[in-house]
Amino acid sequence: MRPTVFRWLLLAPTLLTLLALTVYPLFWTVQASLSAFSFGRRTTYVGLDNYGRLFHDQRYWSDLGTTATYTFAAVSIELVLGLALALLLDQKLRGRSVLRSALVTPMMIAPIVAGVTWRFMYDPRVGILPFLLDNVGLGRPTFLASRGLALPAVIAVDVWQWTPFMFLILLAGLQSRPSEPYEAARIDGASSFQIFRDLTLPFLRTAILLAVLLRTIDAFRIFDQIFVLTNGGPGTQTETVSLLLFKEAFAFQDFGLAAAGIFVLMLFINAVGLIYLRVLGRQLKLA
Amino acid sequence: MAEETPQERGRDGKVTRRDLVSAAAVGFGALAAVGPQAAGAAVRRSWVYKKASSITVAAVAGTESDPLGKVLGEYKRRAGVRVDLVRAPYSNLFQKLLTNLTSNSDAFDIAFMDDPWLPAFAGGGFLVPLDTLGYKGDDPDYVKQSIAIGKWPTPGSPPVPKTLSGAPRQYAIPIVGNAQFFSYRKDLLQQKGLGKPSTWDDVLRIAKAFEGTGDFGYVIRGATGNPIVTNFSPVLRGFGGDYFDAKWNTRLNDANGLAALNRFLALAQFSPPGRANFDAEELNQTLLDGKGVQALNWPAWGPVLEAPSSKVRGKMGYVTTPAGPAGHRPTMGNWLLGIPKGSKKQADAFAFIMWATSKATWKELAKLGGVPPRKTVLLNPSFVGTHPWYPAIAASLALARFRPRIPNWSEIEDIVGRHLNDALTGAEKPKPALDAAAKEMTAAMKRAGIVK
Repeated sequence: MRPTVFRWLLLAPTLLTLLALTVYPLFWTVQASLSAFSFGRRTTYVGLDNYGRLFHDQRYWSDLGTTATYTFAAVSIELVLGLALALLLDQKLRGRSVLRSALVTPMMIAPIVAGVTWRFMYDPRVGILPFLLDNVGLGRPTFLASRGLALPAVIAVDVWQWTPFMFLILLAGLQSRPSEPYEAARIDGASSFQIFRDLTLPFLRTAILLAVLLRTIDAFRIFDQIFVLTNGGPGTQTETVSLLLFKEAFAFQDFGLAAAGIFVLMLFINAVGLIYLRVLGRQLKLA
Repeated sequence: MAEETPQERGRDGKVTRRDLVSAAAVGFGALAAVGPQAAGAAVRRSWVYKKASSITVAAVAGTESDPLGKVLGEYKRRAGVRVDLVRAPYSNLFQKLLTNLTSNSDAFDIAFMDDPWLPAFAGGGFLVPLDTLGYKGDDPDYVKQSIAIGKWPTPGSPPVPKTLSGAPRQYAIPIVGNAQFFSYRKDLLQQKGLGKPSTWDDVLRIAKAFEGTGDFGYVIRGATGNPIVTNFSPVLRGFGGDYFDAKWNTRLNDANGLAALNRFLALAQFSPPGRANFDAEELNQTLLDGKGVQALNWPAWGPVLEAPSSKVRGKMGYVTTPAGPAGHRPTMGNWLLGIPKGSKKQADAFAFIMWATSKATWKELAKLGGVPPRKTVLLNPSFVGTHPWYPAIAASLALARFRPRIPNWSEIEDIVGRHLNDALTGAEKPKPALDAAAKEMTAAMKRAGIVK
């Protein structure tokens, strides 16, 4: 058998399974978005009615804004912290390997478990955080019940859990740098800041773009932590698009509207992803 | 002889249409050999393990299903049928049941469901009418409201278009005779010379008496959605308000509704900080810490409050929900056992339901912390000593009101819950909050085809 044919034969089951798990659900989602449902059963074809309802649904667009705010804030903070940690642990420090293992632990916890843990930590009566803040004279804030604090509180949980992901990718980027330009820069008398700005950041550009792309896609789909922490409250302060669509489908049984919302969200995430990939592709070509 | 290169073969390594077709043919063949049935069986096997002579119950995780879980061994000994209890948190259970029922799956033989779900499940034709399996008719030992709530259409409730109609048929039997009651610290009230609360005016007066003492005069469930709506309902109806009128037109924002919300918000001020995110766990933890003076509650928490390790054991008083100008209006929240149409073991499932809800089994379930819908157990003097909340449940069940019997109650509850939570946090004033909720409710009822 020709090697090429054999390669494709080996790949075929995986490719077909992927097609079944991605193309078929996408096809079903589009079909559902063009239909009305009653008691969970598809009843009639309604054309673009669901998209029309979505366009006028203030709650959907408000939640999309909340999701975008959540994503931008979480990913930005994770990038800065991840880079700082990567730079720190790129140096020869005592106990570096132990520190690295400890740093990646939050990433290994299931998001639901992280949410439950942090719900207790935020509890104004028994939580460790209000207790510590009270001890330094800042009172016992009601993080998850306060309109001003609820969104930052859930963002903080995301930052705690996913900064290690950024850290790992950026550390890998740092450790693949060539050493010669750095030696030359030091000989030329460049300062640490100049070396960081003119050498380190350019070398890390690809790793940064990749890490930000992956985290952006993931943060946009956030569901489990918010479901456990606040269920979208207070009001809809922390309600993200994923949570709303979950409610539309499984609480309100409006599968048509939920499918339309999912399709629009998918287009949005694809658009963001394409922009990143374009920039990333350009960086790779330059490299 | 040297190996022929792709170039020498004239193929240069590029994938041709013939390659893709060959690969696809082999792939399809592999999938066809595995077969969708095998794949489906693998999914089912990994999800719920079933042997012969067993049935599967999808139940809510928590104190509601704990007593039933403890008597399953006894049923296996008697009937030779193993009962697998698959438990899930409240919102996951609804999702699981909805997915299974609408796809006519045989994954579950019995659905342990909250009563507001019955209009969607029975009304949508997903449950088996129990008279087809030999259900003989209402046992007079049941509290009338409890057995009625398992029928569809529900007697006493306005008809709902687009659902199964006709004479009411029994689709489910109550397994938890839930109705809201009111719990209060009788020792703290006695210390201040205060009588037990009978009206919402009493509750407010008592709550004010504890202001500044470090105790919380009234504790609410204020989290958006089901928690705050369930906490608000007895106040709303006690003040003569309701969600809908007899023709399903929205009436939440009428004068009675506004008076109820103002009273609810006045009482909420005496709750602990963080109340806008409180659910049953936080409410009862406040009581268990000894810091809560009064609270609406559900019977499932009775055994927890009176547990041997409880700080407030013997200190709690239990009465039906306080009265407003329109009287006492506790909310009913029975849990029911019904049989999905997709089940292939309907007769076995029915036999288990009849055994689990019999008088004899209820005597055991009550000892294990169950909440009986049967009068002989609820009013049995031998239980009242160890279950001091039972008379309050009996009183509440006799007065209890259903939540609106509509298939889209989950959506309505979400709408009302959001706006009540906004009113609680001060994001909306009471009247605009109710008006906004009423507008969304009307739109939802029109979309569901219940009103024009």
